[in-house]
Amino acid sequence: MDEPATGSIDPAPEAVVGVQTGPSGVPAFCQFTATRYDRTVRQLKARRRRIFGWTVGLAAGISIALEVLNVLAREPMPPWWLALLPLVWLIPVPFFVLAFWGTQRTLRANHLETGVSS
Amino acid sequence: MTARTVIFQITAIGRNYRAIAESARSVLYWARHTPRQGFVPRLWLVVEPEGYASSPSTYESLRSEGARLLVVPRNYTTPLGTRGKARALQYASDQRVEEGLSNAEVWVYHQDEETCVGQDTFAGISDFIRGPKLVGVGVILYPIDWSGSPSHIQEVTRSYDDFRVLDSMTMPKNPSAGFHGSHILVRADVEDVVGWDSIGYSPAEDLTFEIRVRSRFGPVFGVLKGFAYEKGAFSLRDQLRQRRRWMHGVLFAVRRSPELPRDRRLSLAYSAISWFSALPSIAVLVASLAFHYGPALLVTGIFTGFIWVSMVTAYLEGYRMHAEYLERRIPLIQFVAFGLVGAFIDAIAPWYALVSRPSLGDFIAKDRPAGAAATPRSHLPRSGIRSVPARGAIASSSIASEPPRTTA
Repeated sequence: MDEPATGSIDPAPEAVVGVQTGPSGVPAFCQFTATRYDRTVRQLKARRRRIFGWTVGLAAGISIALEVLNVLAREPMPPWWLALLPLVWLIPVPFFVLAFWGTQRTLRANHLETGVSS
Repeated sequence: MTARTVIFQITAIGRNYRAIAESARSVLYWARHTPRQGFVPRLWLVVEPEGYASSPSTYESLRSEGARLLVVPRNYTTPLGTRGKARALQYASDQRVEEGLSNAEVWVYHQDEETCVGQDTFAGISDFIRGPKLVGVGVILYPIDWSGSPSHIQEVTRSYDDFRVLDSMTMPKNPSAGFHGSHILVRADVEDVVGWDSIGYSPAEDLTFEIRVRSRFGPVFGVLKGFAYEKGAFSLRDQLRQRRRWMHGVLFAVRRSPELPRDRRLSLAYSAISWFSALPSIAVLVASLAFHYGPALLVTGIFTGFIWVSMVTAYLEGYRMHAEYLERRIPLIQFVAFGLVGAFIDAIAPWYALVSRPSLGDFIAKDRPAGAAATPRSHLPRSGIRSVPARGAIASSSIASEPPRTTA
């Protein structure tokens, strides 16, 4: 922040006069700094493996628990029309798988930090 | 060599004039406070006459501060007769062509009325325009006017989901149909060649645009660093109406977009069906209390854990992404309870879209009511712009027909 802007936008000082300020005395958008952004994405990227492990591990745990409970329950086969109803839960599975891999890939493959300090 | 120019273009009806003023001033502020940005920033406000008439003094004030104001003339028509936001976007495109701004040195950064930018947005744009890609899309946060309401908690999941959007969009065929209407950066000549014109009302003009760009230029989409900062719907009713509009956009694209390739049509239809399945899923879950599905659960149980954990992760990580911008946390119990309410609204939204339709000027408030005090739960400093009383409208056509005014 040690150089003047080089852009053609050069608003008059009153540009920010009409902006309400909050408890900290500055408009909200003044707080949207590169430092905060960099910190946010750096922390998220650092959590990527943990998110992977959490998702896979916990998902497996829940599914195994449900399967075990279901086997122990020894329930009879319901009528076919009733047995088909839970299949609706499977519809979004491919979408969630794509989202999971896509998020992991985006976080892994991209250098998201701006490197600008304010 | 000509200096690169980035037009920050806010395109909206214009009735949320305080939100627009705030967005515009975020651009003006960071244009002044960002050194070595590597481009010449310009600010264009593209609004409808009724939007301008809602607060002429606000718009004139923004004009005096450096914004270029384009009020779309009432009698402006496109060759294909498109309406709604696409018409306004096409009007701005026509202006660029007319003024010689449609070339490889000019970029357009698209903002909704409530899209504020930050220093990181400027840095991301500066980085992107030096690269080979022609269209950039980034992650949007929703910290502005945050109150911790159900609709605001639901919104944080969208930020985390944006990483899925970015991945899908940068793949050759955009398999999970992701795109944004705001926080996108497009090289002007690409945008102006493709255009926004289509037959009649296009509720999914951003999706149509993405399809056209991909079909004409191939996989030219890249990740735009930096966040944009928006605000969630103020009420559950507005959240419902906003989602209804999205679903209408998707259904419109699936059924009536001739440019949509077959595989894209299928993936888009699948996305819609996935969304539709949310409400029946809840109904079947509730029904399980009365009925016993028995061995059928052996099949579904394999995937149940993954879906549950994925959903919870979206809330947790979405909230963590916002944490840097929220001054006070909300209690966990409130987060869970309100999150369930917000999720339920999202579940019923596609079905609501089947039985009702948005009007052309479907208005969703983004301005906190004037004079409304910040709630005690407010986590960010109030960032609204003081509304200025309207002092009479200036004929909109005279604004639009003014000689081009650069911000230089």
